[in-house]
Amino acid sequence: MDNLLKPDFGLMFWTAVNFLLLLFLLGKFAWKPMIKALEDRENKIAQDKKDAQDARDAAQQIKAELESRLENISKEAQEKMRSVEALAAAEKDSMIKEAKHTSSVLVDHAKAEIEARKNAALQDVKKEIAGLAVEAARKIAAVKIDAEADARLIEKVLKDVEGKEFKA
Amino acid sequence: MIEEALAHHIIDQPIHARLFGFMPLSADLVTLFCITLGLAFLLPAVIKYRKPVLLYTALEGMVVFLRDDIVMPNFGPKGRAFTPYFCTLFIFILVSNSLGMVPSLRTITGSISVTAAMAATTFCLILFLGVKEKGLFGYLKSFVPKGTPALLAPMLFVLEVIGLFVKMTALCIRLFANMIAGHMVVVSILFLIFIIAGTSKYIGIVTIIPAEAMSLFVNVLEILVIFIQAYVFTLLTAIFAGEAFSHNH
Repeated sequence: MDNLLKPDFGLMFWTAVNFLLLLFLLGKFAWKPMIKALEDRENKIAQDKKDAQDARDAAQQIKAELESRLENISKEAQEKMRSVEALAAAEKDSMIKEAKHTSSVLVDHAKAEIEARKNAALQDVKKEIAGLAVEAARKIAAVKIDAEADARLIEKVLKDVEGKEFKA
Repeated sequence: MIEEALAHHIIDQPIHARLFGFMPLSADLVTLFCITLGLAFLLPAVIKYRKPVLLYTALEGMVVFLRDDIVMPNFGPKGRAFTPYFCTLFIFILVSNSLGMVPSLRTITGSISVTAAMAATTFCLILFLGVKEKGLFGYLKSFVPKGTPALLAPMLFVLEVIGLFVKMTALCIRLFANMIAGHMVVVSILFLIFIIAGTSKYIGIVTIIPAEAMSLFVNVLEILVIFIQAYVFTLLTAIFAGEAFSHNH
């Protein structure tokens, strides 16, 4: 058991040599490629993360822009709607006014025409009645009166008729 | 007799063969060569072909852990270049510690010569990094903190130099003692069977069960110690070398 703490310089030397040899070999053929692959992957992940963040930022910006545009469009549409409604209301009022005016003119016109026709019809009826009255008077009198006397008679009858209220 | 048997299990045994006809060999030396050859061929192949996947993933995890949790905190961003050194150190000590768990193989870190050599390489690394980073005079000056009274400076310098050697000695003995202790305990527990059987054969047979259970427990504990000691040696090397490397001391 005394040998437990007794150093073996040969083993010490070979341990150091083996370790240094291993350090060189593994450093060159194992750790270097592995660390390179790891760093490449880490860089790629970092780049992908950055790209994703950039894309997210851009998407957020586009979204904000679109929302702002949508808001503007909505405001414009509301304004247009309001102006169209105002225009339509004005148009409606104007049309109603015009229609009222036209109808009133038409009614007046119709009334005037009706009045004129009524008068003309009355005139005809009066003439007919006067003619009939003269004819009846002549037959009653059985006397032929000359044309001048006829005319005077008709005129007289007409005046009588005009003096009376005609009832339809 | 027990002491002899214990010594046979723990102390390096010479082999009656010579390498290249002149170099005397021992069990530890052969194991050391096997570790070097095995690692030198196995790891580059695993890393190149990325197979077996589990081993490759474990190695990758180990490299990332050593780089991010041991090297970078002690050396800063400039220390990234030292990652291969610490990876080699960790894997070398880990495999050296682990081989004793395989029947008929030896734990070479259970030999003080091997741990002393490892401590010596750490010592060389500390000196190399200190001198490279600060220059010889600057490194020696860093042994004495700024603002130390002139009268105390030589004494403090001597103390710091002694402290450096003590650190290396502690590094050497810590690994050696931890690795040998587990084996000694296991062998001692198993010898209990024979000691008790010497007094009574039947009680000796009954002792087999608790002795085996205890040795199994210590073996499981030793698996933990294997990893812890590899980690501790690597971490302490990084701390000491990092102190020499940094300009803050």
